Amino acid sequence: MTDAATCYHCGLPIAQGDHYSVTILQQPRAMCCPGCQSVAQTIVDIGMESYYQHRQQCDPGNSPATELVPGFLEGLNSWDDQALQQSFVHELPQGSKEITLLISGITCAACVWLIEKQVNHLAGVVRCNVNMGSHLAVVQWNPEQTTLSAIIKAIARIGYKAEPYTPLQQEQNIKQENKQALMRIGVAGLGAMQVMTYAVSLYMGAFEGIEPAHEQFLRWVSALVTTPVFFYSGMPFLSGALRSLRNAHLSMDVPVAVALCFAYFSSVWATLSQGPEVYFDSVCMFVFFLLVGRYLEMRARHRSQSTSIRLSHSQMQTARLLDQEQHTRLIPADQLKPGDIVLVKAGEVIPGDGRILAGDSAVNEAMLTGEQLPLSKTRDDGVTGGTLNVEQPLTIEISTHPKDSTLSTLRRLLERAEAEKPPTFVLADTIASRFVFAVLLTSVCVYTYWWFNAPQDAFWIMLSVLVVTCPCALSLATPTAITAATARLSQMGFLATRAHTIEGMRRVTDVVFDKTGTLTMGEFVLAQTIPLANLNAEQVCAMASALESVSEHPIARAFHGLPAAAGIAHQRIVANQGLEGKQGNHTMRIGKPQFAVPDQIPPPCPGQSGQWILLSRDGEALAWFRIEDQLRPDAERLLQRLQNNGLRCHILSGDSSGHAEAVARQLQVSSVVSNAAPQAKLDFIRRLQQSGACVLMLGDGLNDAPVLAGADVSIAVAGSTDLAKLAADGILLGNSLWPLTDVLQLVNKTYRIIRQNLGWAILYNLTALPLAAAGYIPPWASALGMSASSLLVVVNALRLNSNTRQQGGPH
Amino acid sequence: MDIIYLLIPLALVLLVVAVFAFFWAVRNDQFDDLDREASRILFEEDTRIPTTKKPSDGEQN
Repeated sequence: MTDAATCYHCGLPIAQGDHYSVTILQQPRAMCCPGCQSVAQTIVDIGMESYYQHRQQCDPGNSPATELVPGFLEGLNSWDDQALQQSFVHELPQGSKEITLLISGITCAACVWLIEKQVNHLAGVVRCNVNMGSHLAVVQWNPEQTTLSAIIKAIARIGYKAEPYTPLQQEQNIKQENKQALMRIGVAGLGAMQVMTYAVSLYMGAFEGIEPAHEQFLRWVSALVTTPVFFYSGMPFLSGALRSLRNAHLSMDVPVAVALCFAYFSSVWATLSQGPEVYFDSVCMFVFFLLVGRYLEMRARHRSQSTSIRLSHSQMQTARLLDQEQHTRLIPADQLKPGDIVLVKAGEVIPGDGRILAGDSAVNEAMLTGEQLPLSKTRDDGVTGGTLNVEQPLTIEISTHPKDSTLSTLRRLLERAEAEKPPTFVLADTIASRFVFAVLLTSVCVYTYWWFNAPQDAFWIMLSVLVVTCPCALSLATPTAITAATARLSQMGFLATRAHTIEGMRRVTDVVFDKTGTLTMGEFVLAQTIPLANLNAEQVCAMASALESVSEHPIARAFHGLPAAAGIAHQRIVANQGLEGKQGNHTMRIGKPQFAVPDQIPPPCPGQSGQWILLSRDGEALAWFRIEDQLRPDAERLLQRLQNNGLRCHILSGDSSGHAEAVARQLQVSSVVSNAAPQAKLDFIRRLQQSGACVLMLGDGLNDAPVLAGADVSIAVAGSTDLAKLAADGILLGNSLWPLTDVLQLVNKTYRIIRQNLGWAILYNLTALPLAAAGYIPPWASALGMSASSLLVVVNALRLNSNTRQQGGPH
Repeated sequence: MDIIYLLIPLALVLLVVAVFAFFWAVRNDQFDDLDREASRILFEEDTRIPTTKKPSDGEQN
């Protein structure tokens, strides 16, 4: 009965003692939290229960509901601001408006259906169209009947997050390239079908006799159809070959183009001079097959490219600009100028680097330092753009232009690290380039030989050699396997975002983990309780829980969900110190030791590692609590497995609390670097690389981004900052690290298949080549052999996509 | 077999029509979202909530 323990809506486990339920499809379904309950209830209320029938699978922790952050809903009304809308809303001639929204949380077609239904039901919405591939929704609405924020709220109510989005030029180019490729395939495919029918007639004619006039007519028609296929569809190969010759580097395009040119022009010549053979059918089929292979490869590449492009600028940040009369006005954050004064409310992201003019608050700089605990900031302190204001409103004077902000500097560091990334050795490329050279050389030799022995056959035999050794199978061997593996990996919860991700992962020798947020959850939990007075652990925990219940501080959250003691009231947050409350006449305090027992020297801290806070009553110490960032549940198992597989593991950490060493001890990892700044982390990786290691880096934070970019292969875990995802070669989608072992396993399998494919292609070519060179294989048979060998390669690659898993994970 | 002089040019005309139809479809974003359209047929109507008998939570357990 696994159903009983997990949430019907989001698939997360249900905590004991929680009773949330919604009747869906005539059955009461258990829910894990009020959030899921309300989302599920909304879905039922609007008559869309069939969502639960249609959705494909429920991936725990990756479901839409977890995307919803409460603070997100508050800021929504600002989207109705006319001035702000100007940059991303189009006014249509009929008076309606149109916007492109980027929607996060879409996992399957049912999500798309649900969003479209929900939005189209709204009064005033003219049209809503969600693209499942790109996660972009185009919404048209009538501004007199509804507002943009109402639409975004409607989407948020069913558990998805939508934000305005302006497509980049890069994406337009991708779209254009995609369309171009499709049209080329269309022409080649339709042309190939036609020419094939003529070719069959010509073959029949060759066996059974054909009137010369008919034969000539069929040839002319074939030439007519093949010409656009050759010049339009085949253009990528021709121009690619030209480019590669100009750069003096033999690519796969060269023999393809040579074979195509020979086959086409010789056939035209044969048609004109009534020669013995035409190969128009081979030209068309060849172009068609190759284009399809390239298209599949391109689609996989585009998909990951678009993901990273979108990640890079998904978050449209706004700033509340204060004018002289203390009125706030929302503007996009990238329009801030030095000297501007902005207001940042609690829970908002600070829009730019600056200095605090007024206010007293704590700022969470986790995205910079990896440290989850907020730092106290007051008047005249500097703050960094992109960090989170936690407690009180702040008035900030912007000091640097957004272009020169810390965030942009990090971005530049990242770009530089990326540019200096060690090149990935591409197996197929080197083999192909040598092979191409060999083929060209052989055909020249064959031609010369036959020219002296039987000049009338020389041309046709050389053509046979070129076609039979056509590197079709060879050129398809790697891309098909990589494409199939990429698709399989994304099913496993791993998104490979670079072309060389899979290639690079094969050679990994060292795995480097960031600590906070990667190995650990990035959330604090209560690790240890030491009662000091004559109270037991449960009693002091209950008191602490009651005191902390009003705070959203990460430390306070460790106590949320624990049973709370009755009778504690009037809780008050004391910024950067802790909390105070009343239990009857007693004053209860929890927080920093100096705050809890202000009149005396606090009792000695029971340990070094971790974060210790003290609970007191009327200035008398009651208990110590140790708060710690918890390890991901599968971290230990994963590291054990990796080390058993002969990979060296390292832990890097930005914090200095000693927790990194404790984690390393627990995970039995000997190589730990703590208190490391981004540059120090990058240097560590460089040192490993210089000693010959191939480094796989896993990280999540902004501070990890340059390191991720500098590693040979890098993976961002779920919940990473956008910049980290952008810098990484792959993204783990689920909440668990465990898929990594399956991913590495699949990568090895992929390489087995690539080797088989290459082996087969080379074997085939080596057998066929001498036969063709000796003149035993007529060109039509060589075309057949070429197609068959390519097909075999494709089918072999598709084995990667089969669902049979040798060793399953914990699912 | 002289009929091929008529039929093949006719087929060629159809081929040109097919190519232009395909171009039109590509330019009009018909091939934009292949994943989505594959499952569109499965999504039909909203679920009809049975009105004759109102199921209560108690019955199900």
